[in-house]
Amino acid sequence: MARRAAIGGVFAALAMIFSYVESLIPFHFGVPGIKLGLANLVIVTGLYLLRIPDLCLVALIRIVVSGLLFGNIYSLIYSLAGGACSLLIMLLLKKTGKFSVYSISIAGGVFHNLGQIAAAAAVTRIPVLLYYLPVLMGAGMITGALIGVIASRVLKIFFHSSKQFLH
Amino acid sequence: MKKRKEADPFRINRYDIILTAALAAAAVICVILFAGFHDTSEGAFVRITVDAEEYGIYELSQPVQIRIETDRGNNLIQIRDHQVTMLEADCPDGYCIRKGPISRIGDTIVCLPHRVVAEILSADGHADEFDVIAQ
Repeated sequence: MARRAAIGGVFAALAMIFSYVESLIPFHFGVPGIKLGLANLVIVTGLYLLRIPDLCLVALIRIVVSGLLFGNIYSLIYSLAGGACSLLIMLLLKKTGKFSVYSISIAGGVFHNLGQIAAAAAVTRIPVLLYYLPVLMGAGMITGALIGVIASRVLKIFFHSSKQFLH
Repeated sequence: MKKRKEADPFRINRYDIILTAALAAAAVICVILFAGFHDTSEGAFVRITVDAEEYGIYELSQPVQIRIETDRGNNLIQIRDHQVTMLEADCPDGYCIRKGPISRIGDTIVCLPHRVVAEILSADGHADEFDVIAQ
């Protein structure tokens, strides 16, 4: 139990550091909500290394704390919706046992952006935000693929050297 | 690892390709739905909406600056040369300013933090299919 809490804490801390690093880099693609999503690297990796409740908790802590630190209440709501959609779809796809980390990460990226824009359109009652859907989906695929490739590198190292460290 | 039939997480398989193609197809369908059947000639009016309420409809032929001050923040929208530009906004991200001038039917400038939207309308007052949804 203490081990699980410690490892969960390490993952949450790492995700928050990534959020912080990303908040320092001025990424502007001209569309609100497009980010590299470095913190998702921790979530995608955690998909294979953590138990499901622990992973959900890590994702929740990461979004709430980094939202409060680097965003505002609205960006927090949008991130929560995006993070929940993304995590849910990735857990489901992983559960099927048919997909590799790459396409799981791509679907996670797309659904993160879908959840985010849906929440923003609903909260602000600005339906024209849905015009951003195609751009956000395309961006989610690209960032998801990048994160998937990096996650595969990290996971290979874990699987080869230190899997017993986690269990 | 445990079960034999589980796919190798590091090898791209046919399910990956199907899933990725389906997502790409969904994005392309969105593009076609939103842009494909939609008049993109120069518009005649701009509708400004603040917090989901109509703020006003302005003619693109009449140069004017519209200052919008709300609890959320301030925006300055300019109409000039048949184009609409977000000149000033004290929102944290500034996407609305960087968007630049718009003039074609259905084009929008969205200042999400302030919930200010400028949307170009045609001469008969239509912008897009979301009009129907928004009613």
